[in-house]
Amino acid sequence: MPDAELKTTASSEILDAALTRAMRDLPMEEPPVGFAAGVLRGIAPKRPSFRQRAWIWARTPHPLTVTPLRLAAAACLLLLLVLPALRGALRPDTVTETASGLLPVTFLLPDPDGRARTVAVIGSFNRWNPTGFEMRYSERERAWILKTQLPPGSHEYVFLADGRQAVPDPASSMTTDDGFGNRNSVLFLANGHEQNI
Amino acid sequence: MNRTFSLLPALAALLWLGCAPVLAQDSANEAARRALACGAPEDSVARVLTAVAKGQATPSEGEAILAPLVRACDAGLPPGLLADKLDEGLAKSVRPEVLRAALERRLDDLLFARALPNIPDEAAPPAEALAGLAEALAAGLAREELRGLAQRHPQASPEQFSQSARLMAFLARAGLPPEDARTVADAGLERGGLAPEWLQFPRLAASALKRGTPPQTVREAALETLRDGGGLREAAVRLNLTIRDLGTSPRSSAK
Repeated sequence: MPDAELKTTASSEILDAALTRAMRDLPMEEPPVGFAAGVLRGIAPKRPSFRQRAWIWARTPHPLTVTPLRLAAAACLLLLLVLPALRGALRPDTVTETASGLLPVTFLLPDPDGRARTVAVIGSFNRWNPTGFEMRYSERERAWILKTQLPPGSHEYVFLADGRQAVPDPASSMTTDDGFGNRNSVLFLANGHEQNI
Repeated sequence: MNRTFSLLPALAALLWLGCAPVLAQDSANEAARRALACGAPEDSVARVLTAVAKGQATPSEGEAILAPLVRACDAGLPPGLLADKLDEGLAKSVRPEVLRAALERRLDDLLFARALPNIPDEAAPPAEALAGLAEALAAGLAREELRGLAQRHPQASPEQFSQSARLMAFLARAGLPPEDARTVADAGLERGGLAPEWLQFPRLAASALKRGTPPQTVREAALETLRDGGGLREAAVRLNLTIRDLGTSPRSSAK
């Protein structure tokens, strides 16, 4: 062993011994109240939160035992839950009848230049009264739009522009003479039974 | 003395000019009071008075507009059968004389319909059936056609009779020859009447005719369907059509 290395080891041992003596000579003092409990709490195993546990559970593989009978029952239950939504998705033309027996309808009057200041729908369903049937202008569709609900059956209607000009629905496939020299649009709303035709 | 006498007509004229608007307003108010007394809807009458107050109609025009409602009442007809047309005309700002003419025409149609044998002569006539018959006449059904239907089916209930009359009118309007429309309406009544959905058959007929289907094919499709006790679905199938051909415009929110 070289001389320099021997010297370093000796001085290190001397320092250790000195430190040990100094520590032994320190006065004895009681730890602060609650210190031990705090230390124990700190080193105790921590319970993960509900979310953490759920995450751990979800990532851990679990063995699953299923009998064919249970599987069939579960499939039936799932089908029952999903079927109504599936039905609607498969038949997009179906008009959904609400609990009150009314059917949802959207009226739309194109107005690309935004000429009209106000537009409302008047018809046999509201006794030709525009109150509550005012349309709103959609910048996206460049059209006046009103979403409402009406009872099944046949309804005559027109759009009332600026409170005085009656405009038949350009998209309506059926119109009828209004008796005043103009035309009314005719809307037919079928209930669920008729809609299945 | 002479001077006194020459002043009298002038004073009378002045008095008349001063009182005329008030008297005219009174005449509209009196017509409104009578219409209300016999059951005309309050808001319809109020709309007329509002139009008068706003100057959209003179008081005498207001009275003239309300007159058919009062006449309907005097004839034992529910004035509500005219109120819908009145509301429509006022909402569309139809000129008062045009509105009055339309109301008079409707009243005449209602009076004609009420005299038909299928409508019971009661104090309270079946309002819905009468409204349907007036609608059929307004849609272009000739009075003679309607009378003929009544004579061939005197036992048909007012409702069934009214529905068949409308079917006949709408079929003719859809482009089916009147004799074919008549045959279909007769077949419906002979089988005890039609389900309400049959009022939509004219739309199927119009679609079929538009596609070039011969009128007799349309008629036979209806007759065969009725014979089999079927409904609109079966009729549509026979015409190679679907419910989409009814075209439920305006677009439904479900689309």
